[in-house]
Amino acid sequence: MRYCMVVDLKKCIGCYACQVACKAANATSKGIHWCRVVKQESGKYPNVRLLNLPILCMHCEDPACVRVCPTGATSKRPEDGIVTIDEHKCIGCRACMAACPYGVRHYYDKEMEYFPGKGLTSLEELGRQKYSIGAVQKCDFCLSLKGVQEDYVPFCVEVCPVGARYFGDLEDPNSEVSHLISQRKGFQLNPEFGTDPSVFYLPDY
Amino acid sequence: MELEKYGSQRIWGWRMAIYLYLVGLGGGCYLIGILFDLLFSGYSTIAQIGVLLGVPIALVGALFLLTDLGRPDKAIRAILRPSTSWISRGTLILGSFLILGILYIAFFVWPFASLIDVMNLQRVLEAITGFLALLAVIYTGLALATFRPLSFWCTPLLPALFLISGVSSALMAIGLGGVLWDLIGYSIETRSIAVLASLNIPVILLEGLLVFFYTQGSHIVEASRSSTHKMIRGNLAVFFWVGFVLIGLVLPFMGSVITKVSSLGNRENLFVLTTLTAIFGLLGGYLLRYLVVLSGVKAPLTVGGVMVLPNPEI
Repeated sequence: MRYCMVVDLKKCIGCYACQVACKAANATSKGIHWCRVVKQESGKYPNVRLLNLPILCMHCEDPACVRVCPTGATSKRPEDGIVTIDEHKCIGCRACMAACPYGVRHYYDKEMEYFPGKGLTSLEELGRQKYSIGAVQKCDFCLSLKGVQEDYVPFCVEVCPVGARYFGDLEDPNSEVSHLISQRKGFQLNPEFGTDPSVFYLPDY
Repeated sequence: MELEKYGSQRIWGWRMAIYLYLVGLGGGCYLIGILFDLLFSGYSTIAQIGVLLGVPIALVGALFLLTDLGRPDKAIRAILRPSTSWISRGTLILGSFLILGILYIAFFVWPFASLIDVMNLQRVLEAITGFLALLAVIYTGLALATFRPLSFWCTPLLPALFLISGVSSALMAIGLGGVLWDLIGYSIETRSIAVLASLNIPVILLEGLLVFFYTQGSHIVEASRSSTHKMIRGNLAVFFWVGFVLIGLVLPFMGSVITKVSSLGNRENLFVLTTLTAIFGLLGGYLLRYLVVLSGVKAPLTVGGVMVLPNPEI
């Protein structure tokens, strides 16, 4: 089994619901976004194009971050291909961040408050209980929140108002994600790095 | 897309540059000390200064790495994955070098001095620690060269450049150490200072050549082109041209040439010149690492082979 996410760029409206849901669910610190929507304009008026590109950990088949990790804190689960970080093993060397071609790993180096001097929100308090300063963190397909169970989907998939995200088993040729990738020519970001990401994108045309 | 739109990596900064520099410098000093002891008779002062400087400098460098870690208290875990991780390999190399280097020095100052003669340990330890010192210097470049998304670092020229720069800095540091050695009452011959300067002349030339190829060779990939642009034309250009090229290469080269030519002249002037050359050269050595680290640009994201946007980490 290999969990895979497919993002339909034609459907994505760049509403940031996935980004907000991820943050609310995982209680990540200020400035840390495991999932985010990057917007990029191109072309010249009147022939312009706006791309909404949701980015998260690609849970690569051959993850560069796992290779460079000196402690084994980053590993890929053989049973489902999800790449995880064991915060207790991480020493905060950030080699994984340098090795990741997608810039989706985050270093939690200091506690920051959303409302300085006015106390912590309940979400911030939760985050401080969950995460250790000095460690790297990233998306785990909501594994730590939901656990792998039948028909489970990460929160970002659940909340997408236009249904632009799909989640399933890439190794199952009959799964929805496999069909979408083959029928609509799904592609991966930066294939030249040879990491074989498990997040695919469907073209926006 | 214009090159300015790509931001520099923010994963590592000046502390990583100091770590890379001091380990390269310390390893270089030690290596030169050992080589002088093995290959050149009559230069025992250089050998002693090199070995005595090398270990503590590398140790301070390792401390800078520790302070740069998010969790220095768990640093020992860094040795667990040498099969795939260059950080692990480097930690093992550096750790072994420091432990055996300290042991090697201890044999000369401790009551164990007789032991080293009896067991003929000196040559064995010299060979092992010298090799480890060489690996430590090269490793500082290899550690960066393994990160493929940072194409400016991902080149075999970088370990070579750091090795040559480490050796050059070490030659100047030993020269400075010799002056200090003389100041505290131990005499150093001017011919020792002159031989260090003579050796440094081709090394500095080679370093300049490598920097030229390093920057010129980076024009193929856009992220590397952006890195070079930042370094030689962008916000780091002053550090590169004034700090590294002028102060770190040209002045030490001139200083080494003058030292070589005038080594039989006035002893005080020679020491002043050696000190200035070393200060400039050591500053240049650090700036090289600083510039390389801070100029690193991550590869942009390519979407369907069509759109290109800066890496979201920035």
